[in-house]
Amino acid sequence: MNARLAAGAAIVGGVCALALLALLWTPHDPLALNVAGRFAPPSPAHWLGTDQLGRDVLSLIMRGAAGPVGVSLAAVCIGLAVGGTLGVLAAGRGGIGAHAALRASDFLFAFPALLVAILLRETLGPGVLNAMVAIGIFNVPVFTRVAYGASLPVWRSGYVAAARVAGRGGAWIGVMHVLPNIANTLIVQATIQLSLGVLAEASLSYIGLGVQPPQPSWGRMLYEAQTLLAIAPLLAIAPGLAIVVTVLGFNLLGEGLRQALDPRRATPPEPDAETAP
Amino acid sequence: MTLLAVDNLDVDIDGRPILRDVGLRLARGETLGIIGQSGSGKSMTALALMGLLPEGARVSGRIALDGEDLLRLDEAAMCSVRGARIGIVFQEPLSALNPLMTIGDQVAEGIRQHRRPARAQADALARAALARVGLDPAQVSPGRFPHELSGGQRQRVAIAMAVAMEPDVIIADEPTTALDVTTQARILDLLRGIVRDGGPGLLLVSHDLGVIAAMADRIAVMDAGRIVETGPAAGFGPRVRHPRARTLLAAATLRAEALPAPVTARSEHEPPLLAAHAVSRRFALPRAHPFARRTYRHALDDVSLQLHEGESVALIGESGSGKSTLARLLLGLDRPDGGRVTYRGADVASLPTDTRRRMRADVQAVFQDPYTSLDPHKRAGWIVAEPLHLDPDAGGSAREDRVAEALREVGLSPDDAKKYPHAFSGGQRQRIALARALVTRPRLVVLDEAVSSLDVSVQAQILDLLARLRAGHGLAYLFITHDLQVARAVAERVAVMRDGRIVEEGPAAQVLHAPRHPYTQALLAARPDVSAFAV
Repeated sequence: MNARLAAGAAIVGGVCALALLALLWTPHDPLALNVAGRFAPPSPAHWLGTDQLGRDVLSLIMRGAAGPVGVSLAAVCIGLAVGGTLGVLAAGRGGIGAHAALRASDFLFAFPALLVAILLRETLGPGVLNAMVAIGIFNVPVFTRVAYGASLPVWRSGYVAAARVAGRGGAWIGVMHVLPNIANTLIVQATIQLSLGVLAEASLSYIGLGVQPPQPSWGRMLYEAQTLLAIAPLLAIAPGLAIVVTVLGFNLLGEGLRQALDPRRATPPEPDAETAP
Repeated sequence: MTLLAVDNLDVDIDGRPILRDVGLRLARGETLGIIGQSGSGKSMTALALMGLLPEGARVSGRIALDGEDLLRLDEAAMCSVRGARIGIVFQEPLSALNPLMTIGDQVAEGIRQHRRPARAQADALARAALARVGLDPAQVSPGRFPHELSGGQRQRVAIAMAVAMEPDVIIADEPTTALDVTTQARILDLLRGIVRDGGPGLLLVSHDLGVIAAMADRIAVMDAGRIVETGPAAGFGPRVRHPRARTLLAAATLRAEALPAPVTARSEHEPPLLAAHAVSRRFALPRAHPFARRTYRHALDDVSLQLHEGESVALIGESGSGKSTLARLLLGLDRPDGGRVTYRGADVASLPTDTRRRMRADVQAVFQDPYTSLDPHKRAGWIVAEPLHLDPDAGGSAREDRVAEALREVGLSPDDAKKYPHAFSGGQRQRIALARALVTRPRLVVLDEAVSSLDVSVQAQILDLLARLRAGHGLAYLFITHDLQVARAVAERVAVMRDGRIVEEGPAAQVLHAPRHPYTQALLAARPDVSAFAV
């Protein structure tokens, strides 16, 4: 196991554990207001102090982790399910259908997640589900492209030809041969998309399109802290650092996985042992 | 006089012994052929001479070029030796050339590096070097890019790069392995001419005894990192004493006689097992602009071939002749644009489902590259069992028995079923692919260059195995090969393809000994003679 993989796994594991823990327990109720105790500096009672409404910042950060982690996970699942399938199918079938799928994904590339989220809010209203779908749509063309590129050589490989000769159909080949052989590539891409998803969720929350109040969210905390930067810089630094650390964790995990799963680093085959008479 | 002298050369990479006590002598105008199986240390010897060993390599011994020990030179001094005094020609002409540089620039690069001449002078030298290797600048512009050239032309460029600096020693590492036989013959002629004219010593590394036989003045046989046999080429075979060297030579020279004459008994009235009737296949070429007329490359043009029960047919052709396209049509992996493919007389395009399944079980295939024809993520047993769904008798526990039976039949152990492909050698992998082809008890196996990527002794073992399987099961084979010796060893009937057509077809003895078509004659003439090596 390499150092990046270890560091990335530790950070991501920590963030996820914190998000889960926050569902059951936080040091203080993150929604409890205490206007008298607002802008308290860090203290044993409030490790990261309190905000403009007297809420405990540490509890807000902990509860706020669920948004980015949950949304980016759901969005990656959407991207993998739709984009991965499309890419593998397009590579296997070729022809007009493949062109259509690839052009459609190019078309989607042109729409930033923010724009999609705004469109969705106009039609469905704001909410966490919209953020998932918007970022999910943003993930689809990425996975389509990656799955297409990775599975093209697999579809043309000798073992797929052998499976055809063995009378196996396209669905069997896709599931039994192609998917296992592109899984590493997809996993690495998924971790990268997770880190992008965290960032995208934070931006959506920042402009009010993500997790809705009163539920805490890192993006909105940043937005609210913006005007108070001179009075209480910690209110901006805490959620900002939380975002940076989480994104860094996913990136390190992705880089580490890429190194660990790189087929070029796999153990070489044994030399030809069959030369003895 | 001795130009290059290598003594007691030992190389270890990450603690593993690679070369042991290698000693060589090479004189001006002499060709030394180094032959051995893959992994025997031939290429490592070549890389050690160039000082191009991979990281983690420890070298000891002496490599003297005109009396100067190259192992004592530092990297900067070695750079002035590489290219200028020792030139190298690699195996794969496409990957050895930079795709973004014109061939003229690539040849001039070495000249600029070592002699620092004026630009025009470097270009003139590069053109002269290209002309010397048969790429006349008037016909093949030095401004072309590697992808615009054929495989043979690319290898000429690589040779021009090696000879442009008039080096003392040229190392050619499998220079013709990626080329067709007729191209190979022309490239070997070229190398022979260069050694004769300029008088450099040529160190020719190859696994192909034919190439070594055609070129070498002296021969060294390598095995497991050591030179086990060395001597003048004339009368080399009978003098060989080392058992591994004898095995190697015997495998390459006696292959033609190694197989029993096949026995066939079939009814002339039955329709052929599998047949192509006047099939054509064309592939659209890219258009120059969107409104240009579509142009096509005709991979197959009106080709007919019949394969009967129990018959062994060889389809011979060079790369691009259409032989693999024909195999794909026969296997149902692709559809013809014209003509039809029939299975027991019925058009395969309109077979009812159950007959189609029977055809799939009856007609199996083994592909060329044992490293890509097995899914790296599946165990050997799973791979072998993949076609068994076609056989209704092979459900449940019968499945494992059939897999074990197939593995035993190809000389592997049933315990191998649990291992992944990377645990097997190339020859063993090809046995697994063969077991997969045999597990449905087929009537015909299409072998698409199935032995061409294997070492000669492994090749001989696989061919021997194929002959025994055929005798045991009355199998029919379609051998698709560029190797005339393989065709001679296995086939009763031979068809020769060129440019998408079958130019000659007939009994093996007739086509391979008294060919009528000029192309077949050229193919036969191009094949180097290895009879001098018979042990």
